[in-house]
Amino acid sequence: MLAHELRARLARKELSPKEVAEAYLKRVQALDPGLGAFLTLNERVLEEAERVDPGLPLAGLPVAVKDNIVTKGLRTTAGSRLLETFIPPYEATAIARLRALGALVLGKTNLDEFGMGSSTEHSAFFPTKNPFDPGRVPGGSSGGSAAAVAADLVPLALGSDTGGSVRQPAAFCGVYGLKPTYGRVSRYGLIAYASSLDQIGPLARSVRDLALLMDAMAGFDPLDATSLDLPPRFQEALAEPLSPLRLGVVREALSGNSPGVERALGEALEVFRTLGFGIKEVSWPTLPLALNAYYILAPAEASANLARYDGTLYGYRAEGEELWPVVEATRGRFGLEVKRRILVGTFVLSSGYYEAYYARAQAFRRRLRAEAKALFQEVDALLLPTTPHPAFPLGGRPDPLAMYREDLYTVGASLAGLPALSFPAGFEGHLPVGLQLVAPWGQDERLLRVALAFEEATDRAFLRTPLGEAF
Amino acid sequence: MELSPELLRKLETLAKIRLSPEEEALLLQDLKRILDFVDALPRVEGGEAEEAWGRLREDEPRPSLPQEEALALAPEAEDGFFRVPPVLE
Repeated sequence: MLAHELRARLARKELSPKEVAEAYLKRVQALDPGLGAFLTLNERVLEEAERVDPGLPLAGLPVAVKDNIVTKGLRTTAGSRLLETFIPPYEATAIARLRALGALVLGKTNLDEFGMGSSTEHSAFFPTKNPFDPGRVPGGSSGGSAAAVAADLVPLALGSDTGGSVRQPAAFCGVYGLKPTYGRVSRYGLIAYASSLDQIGPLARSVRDLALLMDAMAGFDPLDATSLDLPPRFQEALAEPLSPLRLGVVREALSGNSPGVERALGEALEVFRTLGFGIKEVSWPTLPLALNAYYILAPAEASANLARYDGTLYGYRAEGEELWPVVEATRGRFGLEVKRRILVGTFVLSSGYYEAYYARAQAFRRRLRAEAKALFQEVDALLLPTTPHPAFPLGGRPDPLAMYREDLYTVGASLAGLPALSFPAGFEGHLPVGLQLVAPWGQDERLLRVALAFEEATDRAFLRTPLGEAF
Repeated sequence: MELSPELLRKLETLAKIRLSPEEEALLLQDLKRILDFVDALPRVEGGEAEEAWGRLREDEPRPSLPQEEALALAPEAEDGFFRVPPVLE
């Protein structure tokens, strides 16, 4: 059962919040040992389910939360040894808003350490498996959230997306994932990786379910200086009739894709044509090099953001007699990928290299953003694959650069700050394929309306439940 | 991009990260390749001016984390202070 259907049954009292929480917990206990989607379960969830006010709009709806979003009193590790025992004394704004509306945090999901990776294999604890094939990755870095939703261990989940970390795992696990316009969801309480790109986003098994979460958690927050004052109106927008729009197919994302991705794109275009959409090929010339700019900018920001993990105020501290050796040994506990990015970031920001790297990437980012803006004079939304291929085998990307290329099609929207949504649109063999829609700045609602038109026109043909459903 | 072992050690010092000898050997290769990769980025003219993102809130006092709660998270605390190992002998 989808989250909005579950909500209706809860509202009609056909199910109680406790029954719902128990059913999902039972599935987690039965199935998660094989999947590894969760790092921590909320042991108080049944108690919270008993106490929740049934009149609240999300009363009793369980949500899984990526473990780089802080939850007051519930361990938050960011997938790192440095925060292995960290119990946050405060709540992220997104979580506070969901809880205030009656949603229940079921548990915290696995991720690549601090969000750095595309497979969830860079978690310091264990890798997560893809529910469609336990020999394959769920994608990342929000792999635990995507796998949990795909396996229906939970109806809704939050992830975070810096270069594609909601969209790519959503595509690999056959679910919907939205990266909102930068600033629409507060970053207060999101453990920072690359602050100019980081954005919390929802994962679910239908468009309407994404809308439930966005209406609950988006909106201005004085605690985030980059928060936008754009009140969410997702469910309202989905109720309005949609006149056909102009879709731009991004030329730079048309070659080098696997056969299943190519087929899904071709079939989706037919669906949109049938719905009356105008289809046009457009060019986003800087897109193929967006990844190069991303791997200057994101590591630069990471090297500054992760400076705080020095073992003095909270988190892990190495043993030792003198301060600096203790700090260096403490930070030696970062995983290899985190060290790689911190060192790259330190290099591109260091004296003598700043102009050559960081300033060049910033200029490129402005160009890419200007190109995207111009494209939206011609079309209302862009359509391109989320990833060039479906989920790859565990251990299948030993080369860091090959792993980085996973985000080839997703980093463009990230660098431009634009909203982008991945929706299930096909299969390659038994593996899901996702396509991505990108909308103009602040037009997140439009993305959901277009995706809903597709979901309804195809009668949810691409939504599968590889491990069955809770309800 | 030429990345010498000396430059890598300088980066380790700047980033305050200790690498094992195996990690140094591996990351020396990785970093060279990553820097070559990002170096393929062309130089473009400035594009449009950077948009002004965000806004600052008024600097008004509001309740913050109680001292005991903050210190409870510390690896080591004493008499209301965070305790760290000595900086100088």
